Amino acid sequence: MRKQVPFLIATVMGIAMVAQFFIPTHGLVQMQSVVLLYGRIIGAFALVLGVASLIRINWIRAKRKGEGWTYAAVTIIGFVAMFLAGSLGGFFIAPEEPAETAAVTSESAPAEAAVEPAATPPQKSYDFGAGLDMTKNRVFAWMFDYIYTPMDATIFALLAFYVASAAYRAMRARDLTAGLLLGAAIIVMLGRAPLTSYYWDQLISQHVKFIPSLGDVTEWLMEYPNTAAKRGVYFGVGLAALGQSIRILVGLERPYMAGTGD
Amino acid sequence: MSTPELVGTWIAALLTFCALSFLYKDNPFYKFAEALFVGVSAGYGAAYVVHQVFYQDVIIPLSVCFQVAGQEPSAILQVINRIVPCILGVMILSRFIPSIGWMSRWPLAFIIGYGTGFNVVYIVQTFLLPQIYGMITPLVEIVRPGEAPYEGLTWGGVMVLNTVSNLVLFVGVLSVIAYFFFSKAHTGSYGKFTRFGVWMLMLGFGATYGNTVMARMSLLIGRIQFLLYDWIEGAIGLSLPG
Amino acid sequence: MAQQPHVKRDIWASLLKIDRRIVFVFIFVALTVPFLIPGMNVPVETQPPAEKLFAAIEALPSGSDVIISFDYGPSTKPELSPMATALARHCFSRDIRIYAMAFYLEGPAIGEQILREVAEEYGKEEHVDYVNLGYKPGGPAAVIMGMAAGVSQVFPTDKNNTPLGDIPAMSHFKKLSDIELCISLSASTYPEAWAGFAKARVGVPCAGGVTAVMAADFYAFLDTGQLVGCLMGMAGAAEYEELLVSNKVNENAYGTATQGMASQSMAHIVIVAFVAIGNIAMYMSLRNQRRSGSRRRKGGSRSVNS
Repeated sequence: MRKQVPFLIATVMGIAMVAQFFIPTHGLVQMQSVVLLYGRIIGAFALVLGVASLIRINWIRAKRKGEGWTYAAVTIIGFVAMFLAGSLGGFFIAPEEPAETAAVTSESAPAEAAVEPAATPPQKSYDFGAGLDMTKNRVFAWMFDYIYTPMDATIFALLAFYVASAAYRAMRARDLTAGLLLGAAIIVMLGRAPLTSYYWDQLISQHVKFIPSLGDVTEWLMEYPNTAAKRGVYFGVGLAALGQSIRILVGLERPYMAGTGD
Repeated sequence: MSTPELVGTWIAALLTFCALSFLYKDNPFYKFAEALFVGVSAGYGAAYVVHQVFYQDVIIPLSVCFQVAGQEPSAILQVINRIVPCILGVMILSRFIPSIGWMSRWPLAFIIGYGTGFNVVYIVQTFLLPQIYGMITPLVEIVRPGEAPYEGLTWGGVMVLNTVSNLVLFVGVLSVIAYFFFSKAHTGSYGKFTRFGVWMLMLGFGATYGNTVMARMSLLIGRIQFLLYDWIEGAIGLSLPG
Repeated sequence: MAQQPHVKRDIWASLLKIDRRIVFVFIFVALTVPFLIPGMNVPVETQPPAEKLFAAIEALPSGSDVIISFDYGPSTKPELSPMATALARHCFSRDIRIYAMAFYLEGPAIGEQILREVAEEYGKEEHVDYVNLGYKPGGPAAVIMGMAAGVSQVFPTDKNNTPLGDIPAMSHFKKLSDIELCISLSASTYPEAWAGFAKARVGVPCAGGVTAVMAADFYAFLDTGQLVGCLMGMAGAAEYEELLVSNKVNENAYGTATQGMASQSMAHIVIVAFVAIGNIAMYMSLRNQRRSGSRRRKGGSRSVNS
């Protein structure tokens, strides 16, 4: 029950998905659609697991009032505010008109509606769907534009400073291989920057016959040596991933057992 | 600029400075911004999951199925197809309770199983076969009469640069693969061949590094554009040159 | 006189140990100043990956259907949003319908803002000329292959819960095979997944718009034709803006990407200068160490001999 059932589920699902590619019978293709629907819904619960775990940890930190508990409280307040703005925003927006969609939908797509009744929404007493509508739910849009976006963008933008500092400290042409790495990086940096690329062309390659434009050199570097490296790596990664997949299908690897005891 | 936009721009600018303050050293302003970001991001994700998955994929279809249950036999199947994944989904949450944590293996096995099944064909179709096909092309390119004129260097009717480039790509791929083949010692002429693979890898990594620098600078440019145009010009009202 | 080599060595050695915050200041200044100096921008030279994508959209007849997948969040907006704006301008100018979707949670919100702005510019209507289907979890296999079986199976409604049956544009898009081109604007490897599922399994041409970090990975996909074109980083977005202007698709298409290119260039020059200084300092420092080492050895041998 605890070990064999997960193994059976993984193996049967995996083999069925491989089989539906090679034997695309109606039954297997239908099964694939159902499996994908299951996957999307279970995937949503996986997101819930992540969010719930984060909130649980911060709740415990805030409750114990240990070091940094105020930041944990800030996290929880941020979560609650954004969640309420997004998921309940529709409560505060008057619906434009009562939904009369059932008849319209069944006329416009009768065949699909029979297979997939999801295309017809229920009668709405409030505009729940407007929760994520940026034009209607201005609170949610405001929080996304002025709180979420600047912080997400700035925290990632900090990397610009560190990558520059790392370039200064670590990029040393100590031997031929390091020199090649450094040379390729410099060519790409200068070749992809319009200012250097433009002036190189204007001042050098237009006047000296066999010196190509910096943009062309960069493009050649990306198209040939870079592609050779990446393609070689893709073969390795592809074969390794294929081997790993087969190991999971036959039960030699069981990643679904991780973190849940014996 | 309307009042909410004005207030928002000021708050966004202050949060931007809070995050940037980390460059000096770790400090309470950065920690505040970081904690708020984590919370807001989780709240945003949760709101989307509620709307785009539970409401769209579960609640609406179930309510419709219940409405037409009497007339439409397939509705029962639809109900089952929504309830079962929800039960499996709830089983994932059992990881919070160690004594029943094993229950989360079923839904994870389901996701990993079908994902792996898809992956088998996906890997072959995406990374292996097309990349092999990409290598099986003529290496020597010849100027043919009647085709568009070739302006580059030719030697005996052979397009020199194209041919050399094709050779670099072809030999490069083989040498990179040879470098990762550890069952044979990298010595002698084979060692020299794998050395060429290392050069290709270094050129590839260098190109990636150069692009990485470019990407990181672009992100900061976005923030500078915000501070200059939205905050200084838009919210404060100063006019900038340039 | 005898102190001079020591002084030189100290300068090179101390150059190698300068505080990282000095580097930060140089970078910040290099990125900011070009915005304050008029006329620093130069024409952007377009490259084949962007030109191929432009040609692919040019080749689509009016009334075609294109998916733009917003597979990124605010962190990579400066690179990818200008691409989205430029692509939406190109599509709307040719009366091509756009179906937006996302594998990133933040994608639909970003897509909604961009498409609304560009649609206003071209007098296009939501649900007629473009649809924002929103986000679905479960990964590319679940979503792309689900759409191959039927869009309504994956997206029963659009992002704002309008049933697909009420959206006129959706009469042109029942299955993935109805689409002429899929473009994934991604901060990750999603264009690979689009190529692997939509192109390989369904036969729909795919293209990408990726952050510069990912750019090097996609040349192999361009070479094999798995992607018909690709925009790479902010420079790629600037190239597409240039293509729109030079081909007279939209003469006002220069946007934040083109505006940021002078700044981008200055930052690259400063970093290359820092790398050069770092390498020169390393060699000089090593040379001084070698010299002083040999001097010490010589001095030592003298003292032994004496």
